[in-house]
Amino acid sequence: MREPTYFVLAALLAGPLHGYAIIKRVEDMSGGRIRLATGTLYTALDRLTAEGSVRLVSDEIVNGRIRRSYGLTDAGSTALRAEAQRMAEAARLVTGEPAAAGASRLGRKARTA
Amino acid sequence: MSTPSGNRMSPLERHARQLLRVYPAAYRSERGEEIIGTLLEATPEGVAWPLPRDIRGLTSGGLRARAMQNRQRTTTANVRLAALVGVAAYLAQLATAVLKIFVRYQLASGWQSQYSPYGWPLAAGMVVMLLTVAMVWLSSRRAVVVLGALSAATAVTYAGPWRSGADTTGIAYLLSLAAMIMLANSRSRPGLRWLWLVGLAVAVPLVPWPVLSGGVLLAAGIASIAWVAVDARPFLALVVYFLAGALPVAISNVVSGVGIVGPVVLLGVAAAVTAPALWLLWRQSARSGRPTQT
Repeated sequence: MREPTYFVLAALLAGPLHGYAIIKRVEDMSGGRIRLATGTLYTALDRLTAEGSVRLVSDEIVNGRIRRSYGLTDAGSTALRAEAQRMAEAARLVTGEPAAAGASRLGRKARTA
Repeated sequence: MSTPSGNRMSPLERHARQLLRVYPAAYRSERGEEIIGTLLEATPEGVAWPLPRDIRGLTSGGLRARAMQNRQRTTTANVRLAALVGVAAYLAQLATAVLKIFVRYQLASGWQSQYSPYGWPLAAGMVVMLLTVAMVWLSSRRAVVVLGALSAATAVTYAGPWRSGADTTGIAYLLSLAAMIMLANSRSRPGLRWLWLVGLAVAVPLVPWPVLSGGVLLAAGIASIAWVAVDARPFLALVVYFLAGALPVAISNVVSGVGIVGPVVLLGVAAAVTAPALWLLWRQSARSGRPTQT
């Protein structure tokens, strides 16, 4: 899983968001390191929707334009947690911390962001 | 220009909409307003152009969306489409070239000439041929079959040189026509944007400077090669178009004893460029008969 995809899924962990809110959440979660371009976000959303990791939750009209909100599916949540676990185990090889601690910290980071 | 809510469109939105044209039309109508809305929110106020990362993101996203369009079709369907467009372009060019010579003869004779190879019956057959090509885009396969048969019958019956069987262009015309009829499909007609090659082919005999028409074709070839990573079909359509025009000349050279090296080189080059393009198209197409999601 590529890093922007990981952060898009992580941004939706707390609940459905629309496009701009996802961009802002990802930027906040990554400490400003990842600034998703609009085109990149929608390419990722298209792919994640096709894979069944993300679903369209609602749409509304704002300033005459449609604004859609996207949410995480169970499959997406599972994939995200599996990726977090994998990264935690990979990090443990370097930091030497127990896998469970690393995994729980990453999960907490994703939930609180 | 105004926004969907009726306000005057900002320079940023105008430029963003221009960028959005990289996406396929169907995608734009489905997601365009949503993407524009997100882009306007994500861009700082007072900026007239999208940020460089958004320009890159929209360009690559649009190209990716175009590539994904092919994934709705199988490799066979994509090859069929490319071959159909290539053959149709060749036939349109041939008909235009014959009609151009016909008009020249008639202008020179005050519209009294009945000179056999380019007389009225053949001209009528070529007009019907152009209509047949148009029907590939506009109407049912039945219309293509009927008009194609009418064009072939008119040309074969009345155009003296073709009855001798020695004219390879005439044979290529009939084979290409048969191929176009077989490839035409009412349920899956080419989109109007595929008329670019037909338009180009029709323009070639009408442009009085061969250097210019050759240059335009060369530019189209280079552009289609650059586009291969996104969509290999335009390149394959050009290959079919060139082969349909070049093979009769090559075969004629072999028959008349000019030499076999030319045709062998021609086929070798065609095979060398077609094989990787076909492989790319296979990668770009749906893996089974069932369309994939985009």
